[in-house]
Amino acid sequence: MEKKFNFKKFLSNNAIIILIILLALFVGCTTQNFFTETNGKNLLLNVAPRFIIACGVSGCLITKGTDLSAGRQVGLAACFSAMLLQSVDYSARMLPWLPDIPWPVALLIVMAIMACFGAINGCIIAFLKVPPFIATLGMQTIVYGLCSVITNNQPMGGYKQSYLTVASGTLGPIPFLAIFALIVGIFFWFLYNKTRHGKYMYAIGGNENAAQVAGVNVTASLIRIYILASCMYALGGFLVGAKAGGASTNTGNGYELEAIAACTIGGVSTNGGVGKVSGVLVGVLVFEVLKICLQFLGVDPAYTYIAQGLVIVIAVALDLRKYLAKK
Amino acid sequence: MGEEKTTPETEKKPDRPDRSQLNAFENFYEKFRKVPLKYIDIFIGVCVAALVIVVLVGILKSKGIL
Repeated sequence: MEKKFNFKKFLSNNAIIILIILLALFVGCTTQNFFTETNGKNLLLNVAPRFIIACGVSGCLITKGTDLSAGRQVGLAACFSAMLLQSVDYSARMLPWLPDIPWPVALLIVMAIMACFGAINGCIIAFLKVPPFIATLGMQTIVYGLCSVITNNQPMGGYKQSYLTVASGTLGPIPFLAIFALIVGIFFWFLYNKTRHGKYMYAIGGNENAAQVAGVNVTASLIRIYILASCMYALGGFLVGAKAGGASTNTGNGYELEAIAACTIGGVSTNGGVGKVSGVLVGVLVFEVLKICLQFLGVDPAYTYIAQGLVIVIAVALDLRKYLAKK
Repeated sequence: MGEEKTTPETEKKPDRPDRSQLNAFENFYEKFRKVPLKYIDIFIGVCVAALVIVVLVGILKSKGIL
């Protein structure tokens, strides 16, 4: 039997995306330089680290959880990367005794350190049954405090050239940042669709008790998900630091809400069990396009925050509508 | 004879899920269970209108018109 195209359902599922496309078309027609290569590249550079962070958060959301410590973990990862990758001849080096280390080694060290925070988050949620909202809110403050202690609240810079090249370099016309995002996207697509871990994740999100009865090791799966998320924050923080050319305790502030909003816009339900990597990418793109559109329109920055907040409210309202329509 | 004994629990089919099994968002969403979809649509419409107004006011403000 042929399926009838339900326009109302299509509109309800893609309302924000349609709205942003219309806004982008309007901005493109009324301003100069919007549909240019430079602007596209700029968009790509902004999207790449945010997509990586959102991929990490998506796993938590799919299992009915959340991670409010994402932004602060990104900041801490950026600060650790800064400490490890400052130029040897930089006078204000944080760790003057540290030998020159290649950036891939530094990235692995930062990922290993951040994975510990993810493991703590996962253990608190899985073993102690603390609601993820509370557990990660606590971790957010702890990580921020740690970051302040480690950095003495001093901004860090003076990176060595090879680290800066990670953000500024290109492979042909494609920036390295986009290649990182592409690899992470493919990895997450494979993980969510082709592995047992992915199936367990959706099962836990759909019904945790049923998954447990069916033989899913819920505890181990949840811990793995939070560790993986923290590894993604580490990579995101590493790239954000390289892109900015510096890091401070305020790096990554508010990224968690952007990531959660992007996931919600992209169809990752906050009620768990639903979500695709392509949806996360669309969500991040929509959010970044909105920001760029508002910049091009010359909207006052204060109003930009109000507009972003309204988009988040609309995304949650649409998710609520879907939830109620299903019941 | 042969009749199944029923208790009040088995007679009544629960119309709401066990709240202890719900996450924070589901708990929040469950509060809107009795709200007709029409009102949610109206709310979304109002938010979209507010978004358009905020963008317009932001543009006019930055150009010094407002």
